[in-house]
Amino acid sequence: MVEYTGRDSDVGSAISSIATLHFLEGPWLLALCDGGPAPQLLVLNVLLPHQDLRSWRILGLPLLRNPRCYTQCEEAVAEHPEFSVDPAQKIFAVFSRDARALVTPVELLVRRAHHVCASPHIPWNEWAEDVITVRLHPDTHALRLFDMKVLALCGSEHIPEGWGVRMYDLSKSSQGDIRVQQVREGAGGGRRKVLSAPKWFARCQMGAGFHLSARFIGNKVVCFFVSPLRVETRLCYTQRCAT
Amino acid sequence: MSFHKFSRHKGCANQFCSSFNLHLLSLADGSPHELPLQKVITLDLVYYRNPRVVDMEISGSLIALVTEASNFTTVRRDTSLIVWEWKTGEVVRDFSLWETGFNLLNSGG
Repeated sequence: MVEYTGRDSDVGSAISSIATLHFLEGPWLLALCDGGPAPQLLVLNVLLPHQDLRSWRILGLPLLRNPRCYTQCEEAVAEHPEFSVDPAQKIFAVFSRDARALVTPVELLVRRAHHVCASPHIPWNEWAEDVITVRLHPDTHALRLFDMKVLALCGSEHIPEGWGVRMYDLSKSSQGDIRVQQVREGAGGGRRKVLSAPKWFARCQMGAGFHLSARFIGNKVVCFFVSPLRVETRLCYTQRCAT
Repeated sequence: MSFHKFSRHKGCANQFCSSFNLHLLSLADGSPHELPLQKVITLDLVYYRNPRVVDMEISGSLIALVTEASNFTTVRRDTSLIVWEWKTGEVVRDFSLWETGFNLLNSGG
């Protein structure tokens, strides 16, 4: 059996810098490693022996500020039947604080891992063409992924009325409110899709106050904030915008 | 419905060892979940002290845990990735640095 001779220490190096960890499907793990000059993704099959060429890959990423990783949620959203989860459409996203999300089908990762190649390292330029770059609003705080849809929680304490959720529908990337650009990156970057969505999908009624944190819980967006007049923490839920 | 609780216990027999206990509890009443064969799964981190859980994921029958701990013999803090089968309590893979950085390098290719 051919092995990655002398490269196993790379797995150790990647593991030593794991920031977040996610199961993709079955025995596949996706770890975001943020210890080097640029973040990396470690894709790992925990059931295959380490000598197996398909058991791990390290995928390069571009320079990202405070990257976080999100994977497809399995929860069904009863109020939104359009968000039915199709396992074949699972996606994951790497979200960066400079208002970018790199979205990729999970299947693509697994397919790449199954493809036996000379090196377990896949530079960013080699797989960037399979990634959809979503240009997020600068005030984006968190993402939620559903069936080929990216929900982005946006808001700023400076604009209390400006809280809400924007939806980026990857499956309708050529329609209406989503602008698709074919951009050519720098040398070797390939052609990539860049999506942006100016419309609100849902809004929060925040009132005046200072934002503390916000997160998706199930199909609700919950925002915690403090009133300027008295110390008060409140929860706010989004209401879907009329279409 | 269930949730997992992760706690450290100090009952490890080896003085150069830190242990974690993993409890899988029912959300209905907080009682131990009926599916795991062991009520409490114990993980011993031999040669490591003051461990900290960096991240933990559960999916299907697997639990993955990333820990960071100080090596008893070196100053540095090392990170480990350990995967269990939570029903049986068996360790599926232990991607500690000892395995990936040292052991695999010496396994040849």
